[in-house]
Amino acid sequence: MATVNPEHLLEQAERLIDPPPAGPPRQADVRRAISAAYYAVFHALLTAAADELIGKTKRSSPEYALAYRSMDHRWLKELCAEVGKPQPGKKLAALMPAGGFGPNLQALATAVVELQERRHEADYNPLIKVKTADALLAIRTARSALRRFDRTPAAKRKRFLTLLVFQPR
Amino acid sequence: MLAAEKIDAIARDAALKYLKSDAVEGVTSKDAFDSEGRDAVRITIMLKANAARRLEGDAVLDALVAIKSKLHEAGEERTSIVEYAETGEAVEADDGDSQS
Repeated sequence: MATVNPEHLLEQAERLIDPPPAGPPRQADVRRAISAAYYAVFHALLTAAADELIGKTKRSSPEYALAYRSMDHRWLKELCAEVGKPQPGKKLAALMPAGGFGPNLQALATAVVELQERRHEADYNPLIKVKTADALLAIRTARSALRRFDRTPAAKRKRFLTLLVFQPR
Repeated sequence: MLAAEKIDAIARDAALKYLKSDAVEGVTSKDAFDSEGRDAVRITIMLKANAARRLEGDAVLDALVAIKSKLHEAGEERTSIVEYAETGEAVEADDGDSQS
């Protein structure tokens, strides 16, 4: 069994933006660092959701893999965009935990939307020059976002992860 | 849609609050498109030379949350994309050579 270790992705990102012997880091490396920062958060959330719904002890099972692979980037972004709002739309409002998702989860959600946007640009936009400072702060944003997620009360985390897997119709 | 000056002021206030004036050089914004082709606003927070490494992730995330929530409160409906750069930062040129 091998889930993707988010910290390893963040460490990879940091290695990619280490200054080379001469000149600035390559665009390929800086862009990939931003991508790795996003994927660290993405895989952390996938693991958390599959652990919650299937169980950590079942990480080698086919059903764990099904749950893990059921989550997609688009819905993650849509959900996080709503969670990050002061007033979510009606569909989500009816499914929110008592007292809302709280500032820590909202901060994670905001980071997810931003990092996904940045990842898309880094991966596909030929017109931008990605700065090393930008990649460095994307990595730090990702780490902070995961800490906020860990500090979210268990019941709110569970509700969020359930919504991540089971998209409301 | 807010005027650029208003966006810059909101983003600058949030950046200065969380990142502090010894790190922030200035803030600019321009019209952009998001990954789905919708109208967006790209906000660039220019940091002083070598300031990025001194910034804590929590402060950067708090600045991001503040910028987005303040823009939303002020009536900006477009997606905001927040990026950072450092004064004098070199980047790889198109031909593989560095340029500032």
